[in-house]
Amino acid sequence: MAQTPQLSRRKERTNSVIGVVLFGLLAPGAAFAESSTGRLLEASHKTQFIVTVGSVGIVLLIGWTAWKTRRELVARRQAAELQLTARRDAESIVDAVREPLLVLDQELRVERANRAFYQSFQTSPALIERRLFSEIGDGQWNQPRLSALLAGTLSHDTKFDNVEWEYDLPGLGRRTMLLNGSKLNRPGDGAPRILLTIEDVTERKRADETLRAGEEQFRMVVEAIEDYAIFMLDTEGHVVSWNRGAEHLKGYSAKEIVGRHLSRFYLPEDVTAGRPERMLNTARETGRAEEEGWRLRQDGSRFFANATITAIRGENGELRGFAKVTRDVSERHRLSQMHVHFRALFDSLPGLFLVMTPDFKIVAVSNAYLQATMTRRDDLIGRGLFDVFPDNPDLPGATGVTNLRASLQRVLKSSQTDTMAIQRYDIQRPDGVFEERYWSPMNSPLLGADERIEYLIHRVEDVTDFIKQRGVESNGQGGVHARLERMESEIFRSSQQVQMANLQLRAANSELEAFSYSVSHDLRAPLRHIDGFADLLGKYAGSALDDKGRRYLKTISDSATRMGALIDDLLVFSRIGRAEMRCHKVDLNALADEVIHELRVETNGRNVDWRRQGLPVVEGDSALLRQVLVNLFSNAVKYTRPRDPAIIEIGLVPSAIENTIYVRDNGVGFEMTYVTKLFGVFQRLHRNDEFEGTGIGLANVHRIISRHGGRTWAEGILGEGATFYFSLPIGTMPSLAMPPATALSPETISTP
Amino acid sequence: MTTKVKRILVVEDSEQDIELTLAALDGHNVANEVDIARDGAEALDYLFRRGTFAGRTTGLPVVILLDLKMPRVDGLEVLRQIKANPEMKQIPVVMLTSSREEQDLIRSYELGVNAYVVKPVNFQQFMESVRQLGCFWAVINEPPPHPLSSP
Repeated sequence: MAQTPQLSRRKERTNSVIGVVLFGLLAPGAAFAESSTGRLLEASHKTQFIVTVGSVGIVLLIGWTAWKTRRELVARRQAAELQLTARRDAESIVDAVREPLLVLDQELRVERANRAFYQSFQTSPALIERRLFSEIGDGQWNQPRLSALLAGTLSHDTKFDNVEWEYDLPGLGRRTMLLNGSKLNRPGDGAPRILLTIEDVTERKRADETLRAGEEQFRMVVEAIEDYAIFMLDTEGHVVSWNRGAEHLKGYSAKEIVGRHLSRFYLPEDVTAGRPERMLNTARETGRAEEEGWRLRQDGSRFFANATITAIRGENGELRGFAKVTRDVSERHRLSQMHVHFRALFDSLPGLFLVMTPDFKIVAVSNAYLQATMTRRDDLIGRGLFDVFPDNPDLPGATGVTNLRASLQRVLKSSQTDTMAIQRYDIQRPDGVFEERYWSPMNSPLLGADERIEYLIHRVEDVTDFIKQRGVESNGQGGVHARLERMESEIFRSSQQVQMANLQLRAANSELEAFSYSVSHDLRAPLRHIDGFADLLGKYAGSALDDKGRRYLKTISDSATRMGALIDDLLVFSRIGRAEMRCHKVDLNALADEVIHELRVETNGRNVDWRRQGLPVVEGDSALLRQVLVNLFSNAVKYTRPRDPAIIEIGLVPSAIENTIYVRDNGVGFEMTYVTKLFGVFQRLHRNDEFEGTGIGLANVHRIISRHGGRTWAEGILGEGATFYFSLPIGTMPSLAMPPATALSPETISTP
Repeated sequence: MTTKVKRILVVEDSEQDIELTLAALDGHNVANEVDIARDGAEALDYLFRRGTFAGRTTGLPVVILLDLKMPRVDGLEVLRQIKANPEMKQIPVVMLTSSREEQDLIRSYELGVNAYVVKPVNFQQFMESVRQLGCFWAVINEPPPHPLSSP
């Protein structure tokens, strides 16, 4: 495009030359006006002169000559212009190049540099032009190696490429440069020059190094992985690398396996079936292949593997090989197989079982259950129990759903099995009609590792036939079979009664709790009033009363106080029966020492010789066991009051089945005739004015030890001392989920 | 110096207990004015100036002795409402009750009771307890600065 005006100008000039020649032939002397340049003018004079003197032939010759001369002149001019333009272009290109460039003359002085050079090296033309290359840049270029290279370029026209050079750039520190030099032969003056390009590759080099380090680390990580076999295959499936995990998993060392084909890891039948090739092909086509199956180790043993093959491709998409990652999932496989087996086992159980989540979504049912309820597995799994089994809408007052839900809630709350009474729970037939059915259900929790309920197991017996038969049977006749069925039906009935009794017991327990609560609140208040007003009366009427009157008042007061103490003790006794037991290992030695230490305050001033022998570590509730020791020890302290020294001995009676602990004292003792009364509530063998007390202590001891599954007993000789024993079973303590009956036994409350 | 009367509010439904409490406070010269509410509902009316107490001009009490088991509104509910009210919650509340049931203790402390005292059956001990309570909360203890000094 830029050439178009130039071309047309040249055409114009050529035209004008031809025009002048023609004009010279036809109208000599008139050509002056047509000339446009000085040189042309000169040429015109010459032409005119010849035309004036010569013949037509000469005119033609000279005309041709003139035309040719003109053409040469124009061409030379044009060449000069072109050269100038080219040079300017070249310079602007050089300036535009991003890499620093230097042109050195044959003396290795800087002839010129480009803008990039000035910027990168923070210098200016004034500072470097015409100066020796070895002097600029604080002489950093002044090294024999570079001088030799440059000299070689000048004299032998040898190029040098990518010579690495370290250079300190102001402000940027040490940089790595690549130097390229080549000789420039310039037409003009003919003196050779050197074009030196400098490329700063510091960042690239750093990135390369990081990448290389990363690759090395990655290789080391892969090498060190033990749980996964990670190795490379060539494009045909031969092993080319081998990590520690591969060695560990497959048993081959790298030396043994590199170069071998992948199919070596497969079972012979799989190789015959073409599995290794198929896997490689899939990876070739889709980039990745994964499969699970049996694999062989070097020693011939098998493991179940999860293997992934990934195709590795080069920059242009060509296949370079494969990466293979293999994991031993034998354990998982075994578990999943087991899961399948157990599922089949569960499904075929003869009983009627249904498993659900804690929010009553059905997760599994046995075949027998499906049969009994006329349902299909697909219709149950994943659905809510009560959505699938609603109450019979035609049976007013149906309680099936309510009762079952209540039982399941109890299991969720207590984490314990709940056996339900026989229920009528009608079942909808596939045709929509409800069928009368009776069931004996039992619901149990299935606890997960964290002790939370993971599933609920619902087990039922279909007792419809028994129930109906009971209604039909009236004469009591029938064979052995009928009698057996009758007996079973009786068992079901009594289980129903037990359920009822359990319910009543539950109600009684909560009533009892309410009872003790109101005893605590309401029974003590009037006692306080009796005592309070007796006291006030004493103050107001004190002077009017004689000794007898004052003694009466005091008796009122004392009795009220004593009754208060009795109520408090009774509440403690009741609480001991109800309190939840938290069983742990309890070191009786430490516990006994602690109690003895506390009692020393009471025995202060008395001469008490405590003899604590070695005691065992037992399983039990430490707070309750502590109360046992407090009661027994303080009894011993109390009943040895007349003795000096009082000797209290605590020890263990060796036995293999239970830990028997005794507390022996040299106190006032008791007659063995009354030994049966000792552990009763409010039973006492001494008058209050001899030894104070309410008679609840040993009853508490008895109750606590009973709750631990142990026994209590005592031996005594009047006037010589007493020994109290309690035993705790060794090993697992019987689980006493239900507290013992909290009501007092008749003989214990019938005492005066 | 202003002679501000330190007022004690006794919330108690039992006539006898009120009389004994007053006797105990009187007998030990705890020079305070004692206001009585006969159950929880009355106590709330008193505190929030409602119903028969709408025209109450006296300030808030420096301490409330609160029985637990009362008809209509029980002590725990009164305690809950006091501690839920930004103005009232600073008033010290002492549960003075017959009950030493664990569940009552736990509930009371959960609701932020300042003290829990079981009324002893023995009158001498009862007198001593009430005296100490009156002494501590109405005489020794410094009440919180502003909400209680309102007219």
